[in-house]
Amino acid sequence: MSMTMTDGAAVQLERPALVTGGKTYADVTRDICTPLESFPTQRWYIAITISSLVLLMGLTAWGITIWDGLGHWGIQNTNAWGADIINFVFWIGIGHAGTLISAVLYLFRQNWRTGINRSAEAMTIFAVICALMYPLGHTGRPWLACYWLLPYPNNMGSLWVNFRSPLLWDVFAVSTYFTISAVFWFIGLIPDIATVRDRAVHPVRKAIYTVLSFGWKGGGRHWHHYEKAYGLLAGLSAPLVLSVHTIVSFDFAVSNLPGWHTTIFPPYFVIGAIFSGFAMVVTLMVIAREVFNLKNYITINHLEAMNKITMCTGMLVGLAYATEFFIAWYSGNPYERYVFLNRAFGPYAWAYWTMITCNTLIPQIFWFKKFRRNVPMMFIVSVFVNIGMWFERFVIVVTSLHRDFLPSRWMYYLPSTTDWFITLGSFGLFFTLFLLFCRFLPVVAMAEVKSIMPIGDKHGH
Amino acid sequence: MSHEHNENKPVTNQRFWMTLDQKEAPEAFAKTIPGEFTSSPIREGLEKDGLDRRDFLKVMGASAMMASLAGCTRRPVHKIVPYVTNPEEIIPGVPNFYASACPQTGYGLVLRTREGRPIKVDGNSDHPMNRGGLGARGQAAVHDLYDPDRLRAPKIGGVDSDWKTFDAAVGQALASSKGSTYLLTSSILSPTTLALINKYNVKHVMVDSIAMNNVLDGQAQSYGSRVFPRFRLDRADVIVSIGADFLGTWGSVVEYEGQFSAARKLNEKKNTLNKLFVFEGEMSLTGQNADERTAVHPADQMILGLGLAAEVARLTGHSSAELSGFSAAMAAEKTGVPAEKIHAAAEALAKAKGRSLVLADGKGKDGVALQVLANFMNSSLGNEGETVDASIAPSNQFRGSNAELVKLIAAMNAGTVKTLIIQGFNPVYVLPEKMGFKAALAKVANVVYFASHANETSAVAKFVAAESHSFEDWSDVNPQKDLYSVVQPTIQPLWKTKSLLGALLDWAPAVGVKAPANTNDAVKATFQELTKKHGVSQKFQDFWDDLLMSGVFAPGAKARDNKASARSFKGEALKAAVAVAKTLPAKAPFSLLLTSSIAMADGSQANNALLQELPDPVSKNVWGNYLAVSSIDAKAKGWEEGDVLAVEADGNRFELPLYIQPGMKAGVVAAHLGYGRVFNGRNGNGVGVRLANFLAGDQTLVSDVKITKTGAKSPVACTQRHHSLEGRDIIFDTTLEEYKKNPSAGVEHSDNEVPPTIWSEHEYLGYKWGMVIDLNACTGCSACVIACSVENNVPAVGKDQVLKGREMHWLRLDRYYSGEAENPETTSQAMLCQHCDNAPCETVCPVLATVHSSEGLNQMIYNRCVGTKYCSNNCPYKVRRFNWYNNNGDMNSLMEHPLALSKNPEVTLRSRGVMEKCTFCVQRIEYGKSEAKTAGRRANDEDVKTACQEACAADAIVFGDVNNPESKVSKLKNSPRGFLSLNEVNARPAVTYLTKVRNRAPEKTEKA
Repeated sequence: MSMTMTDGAAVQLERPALVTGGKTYADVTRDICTPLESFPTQRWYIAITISSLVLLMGLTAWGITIWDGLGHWGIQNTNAWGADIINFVFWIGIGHAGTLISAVLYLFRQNWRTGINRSAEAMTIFAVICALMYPLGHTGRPWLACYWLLPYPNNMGSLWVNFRSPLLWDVFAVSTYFTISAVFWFIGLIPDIATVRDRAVHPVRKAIYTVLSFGWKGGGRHWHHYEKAYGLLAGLSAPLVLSVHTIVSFDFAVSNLPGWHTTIFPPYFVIGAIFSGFAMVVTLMVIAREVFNLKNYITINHLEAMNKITMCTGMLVGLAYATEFFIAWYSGNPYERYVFLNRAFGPYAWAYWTMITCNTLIPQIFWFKKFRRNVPMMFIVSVFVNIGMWFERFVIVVTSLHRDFLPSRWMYYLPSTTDWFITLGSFGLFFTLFLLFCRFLPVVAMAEVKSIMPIGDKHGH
Repeated sequence: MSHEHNENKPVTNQRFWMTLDQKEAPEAFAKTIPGEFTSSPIREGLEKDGLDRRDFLKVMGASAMMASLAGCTRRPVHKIVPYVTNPEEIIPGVPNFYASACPQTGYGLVLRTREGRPIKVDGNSDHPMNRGGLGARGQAAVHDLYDPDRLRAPKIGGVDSDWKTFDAAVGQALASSKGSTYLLTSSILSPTTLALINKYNVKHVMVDSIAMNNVLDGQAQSYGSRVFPRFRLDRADVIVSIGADFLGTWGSVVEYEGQFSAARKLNEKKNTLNKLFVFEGEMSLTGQNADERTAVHPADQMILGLGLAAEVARLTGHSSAELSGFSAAMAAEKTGVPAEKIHAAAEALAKAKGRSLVLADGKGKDGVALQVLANFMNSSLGNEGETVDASIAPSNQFRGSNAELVKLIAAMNAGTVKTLIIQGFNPVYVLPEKMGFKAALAKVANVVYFASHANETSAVAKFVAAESHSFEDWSDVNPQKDLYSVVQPTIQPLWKTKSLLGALLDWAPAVGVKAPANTNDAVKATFQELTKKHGVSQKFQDFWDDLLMSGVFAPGAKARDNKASARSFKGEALKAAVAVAKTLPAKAPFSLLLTSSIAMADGSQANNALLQELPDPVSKNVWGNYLAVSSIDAKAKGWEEGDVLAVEADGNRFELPLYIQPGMKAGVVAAHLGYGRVFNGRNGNGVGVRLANFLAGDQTLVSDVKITKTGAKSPVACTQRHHSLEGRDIIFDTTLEEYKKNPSAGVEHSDNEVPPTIWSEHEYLGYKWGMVIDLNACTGCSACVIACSVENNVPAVGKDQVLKGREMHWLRLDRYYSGEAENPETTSQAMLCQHCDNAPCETVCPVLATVHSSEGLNQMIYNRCVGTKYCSNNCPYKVRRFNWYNNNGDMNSLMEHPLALSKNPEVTLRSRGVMEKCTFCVQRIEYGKSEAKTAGRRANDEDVKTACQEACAADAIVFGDVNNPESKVSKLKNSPRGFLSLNEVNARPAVTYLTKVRNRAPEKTEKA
């Protein structure tokens, strides 16, 4: 809780309020609920048209791929993974920020999270949905992979999954992450859905939100149970933030490919994920607070905090890049040395230096408070960070594969048109889901925001 | 209450009431009663119209049942009937093997048939020429048989006909053109056919589409008889080749390869190697196998030959006046070849008198003259009779004569040819236009052309005889003196086709020739005569049965290894040759050398997708020809790989993409013949560019060409994009000298230094399969690649897919260069699944679709595979192949008839979305094991042979049971030359390679 004291004003500085504009509880409810209840704006229509068209493009590309074969992609025998796995890791990474913001910051009682946690969580879930398309869709026979990768009882004797394979760990890690995140998000939504329900006029609308609100009445016991459940789920989610990307990194680290077979991968991937996730949250928040007029809830202070984390994780990622190079040299392993030199100076140097520029150099601008609090600037930086993080995965997946042990098999890889359509399509899916979310569910956790507002006690007691 | 209670009548006049409704409004209430207990079936059943609920349920149930029954109805009955009279030899599921022979080369073959259809062809190990080996084109022949684009019936004037009409028409034509009938064929090896042609009394002209005129004419000039000698590379300790690609496309390649490679083997008992010097302008397969290769401009070959001959003459004491003006120093000055290289070759030859061999192939006007020089050297060195055999078993494989062809064309133009029968090659495509063959053909009234496919010649022939494949009809071959084989059919002709022999027999009555009734009788009759001639005491039927089993009748077998009689060299031939040297044109900035490709040869198999997709053993390019250019020229002119260059000379022009070929002599560009077919079929049409118009007689060198960059780009589909080892421990080489000091020389990681592992190791209690590949014996001929594809139903995927890096070959030959780019040394490494004991692929598959067998095989379970491709990423050898599309027909239809017949029924066709790879021919292992088990013993080396091993003429691949200490493979595994590729990855592969040992001075040894 806020720590300012009236009588100690002389010695203690006031903490800036988390919600600005002198809002009352009623204001909060009205501000957040109005966009859900009024007719969608033209801007929303334009946005959803574009995003769903892009989604349709992606779906068409998926359809062609599944109907005809993976040959439509750019991958080949040398680079058997390409845009598919790059996008998978990219989206899983994006999904990290949501859980981090809601669970970890919740456990650490970081109140500033309340303004952004809802949309960050939604972003997580949508990102994981985007990510989930790839491990399934990139298989040669997804109609079988969708259940053969699960250890289900069957009558075929010892037919079972291979618990030694990191891909199987992935199945468990990602599906667990998705389930917990979805439940956590939904539990958090219940009090707010109840608010929307109570304001609903149309009977159908009322009925739907009634079902979704699980009979929430806001009683003391409800709140008691709710807080317990929320706390427990936060506790469950927090380690997942670390585990999911650790296990995703095992897909690479457990292989024997130079450039993949690296012990630094688990922390490197987790940090990278947080980095990209925070950048994506900034991108979305900047848009959302503009479009839905939430500037008093998602304040510049929120964004500045996010930018600090972005810069910090960006430097950690840079440290990881440097460490990789050092270890490659220090190991004395000629294959490993070659892969890293090849990354920086080989045919994919353009990708490598794109990554370095976007991830380690550009975020340095946040050393300056002026830029940390400059909305257009942070928007640009956040987009660059996400481009950089996409290229990080590109660099990891492609530059390691394209020149591995046997020089006779070396080849160049570029994603095909279908790959690009599918990649864009996942952005289409992501933004479509996010826009729908903004229309139908409260984008700011009203109940939580109210809990940190200094109503009746302007100092927050 | 009334007992006749009827629920339809309103219940009124009742004293008792049940509800207030009834009391207050009895009429209205009565109406509600029938509907109150709607579930009463009785009540509903009484409704008149509509369907009541019970009936509805009944009808619905019945119709559901009928619908489901209809779904289960038997489909129209297609009876399958087992063999009513079971063919004696056919047991379903068990292959039959038939000995046969290749009609073009005369090599002995063994055809494997399943349920009456040939599915695999291999060399006959009892045949003295190919000794079990078979080249890539021979291996692929099975797919020609089932090519859906084959002609299925004879055609007259472009219209499908039947043989009755066709035979009658041709018979009439033949009868009416007696004395003016000509026969134009490729070299015919069949004594039966030749005898019959003789009886026909027609003028017979033979032409080899890959011409060997120079050798034949050179022999005629030097020794007086036009004969193609048997070169005995097995007896030669020193071989010098001036432009003769004898391991690739020149002469009896498979025979030479076996002999050459036998001398490249090293073991405890034998620590000597032959030494091969090659002087050539392009990079050939022979050049790749040279111990000392020197790049020399093809136009300079003659001068170089003279210098070498002069040195040889000096060293052997045969100096003659003609050569007095020549020396190594003079040749070195004119050709730019270092004099010491010429000296070294001459000295090596002179040291191995009688045990050396000089082979030459002149590309320009010096063709015959260079042959004379080679003959002179061979005679001077005493090789005549030793390594050059023209008396015991000279070859019949090449009998073509360009001069005869020129005469024929003149006769055609003069109108003296009324009927021309053409067979065995495709003259309109193969011959340059300026020879005027096509134009002359128009002046021939009746052109009868035997063709398996519609092609360039059939398009202008009046009568097109659909020709049988050699697997479909009887014939015989006599490739060398006193060496005969029967060509046995293994399947009824698939279509309405005939062989030349069959047709000639059928037309015999029309021209009044007495002939046997069918091809079988005719061939039998030939052998009956042969047995009489050679005094075979066996009863003929027994002899015949034995012959069909063994495939070879070699009455001269015992004499084959004897010293042949040495012919005396005619001095005047040398004089003429030296005179030719003076007339050679001056070198232009660029010369074009036309070469034959190992896959395409004369282009007749262009529709065979396996061959189109066979990586060229030298360049590793597929699907089409390209312009091979030296890196020096490319750099000087600013050309890059893939640039389309236009080449012009004498009004002819072609455009081909550039490929930078290490080892090319600057100033020479080379391109393959055999491409650019237009009438061949779905696979061959439009692949590459036809270059035949640049040929001039036997000359393959166009001495002055203009090359311009068109600015267009066209990618060359190459299966190996990087050619250097990058200093990695993939292959090891050494020199003979070092090897003699230390047999493990070159191996930087000995086999015994196996790094530790964290896995518990596999236990192999029964068999443990392993392989050894001798890098020194392997020439890189690529027959194994095709053999593997045919055996294992590996599809060709097309140029666009190869460009995307998706070729499917389970076995590939990686080719690494070392040394300088202008004249590199080459090592070919057969790379296939290594069946690792610590297989990296096995641990990462999430569904256990790739697992380790108790016999050490890394097994791919296709129907379990979901296609994550992780195994391929984790494979250090990158031998796994993914099915990016459905390669066996599209989603809803099977492949076109009769393609399916070509598939090996023992190997699953892989659907799209699954990974595949080499299985060590597990189907052959299981077959061999079961054969051995039936015989009550353990399977041995003879029981199990992989397809690649069987195809290898060089015997470079040895496969077998490592657990059996007596097996060849376990002995070789202990060879000091053995090493594991990428040993430090510790995958523990089951394939051991043996070092490449070069027979040259060691100071050059350096890893690239």
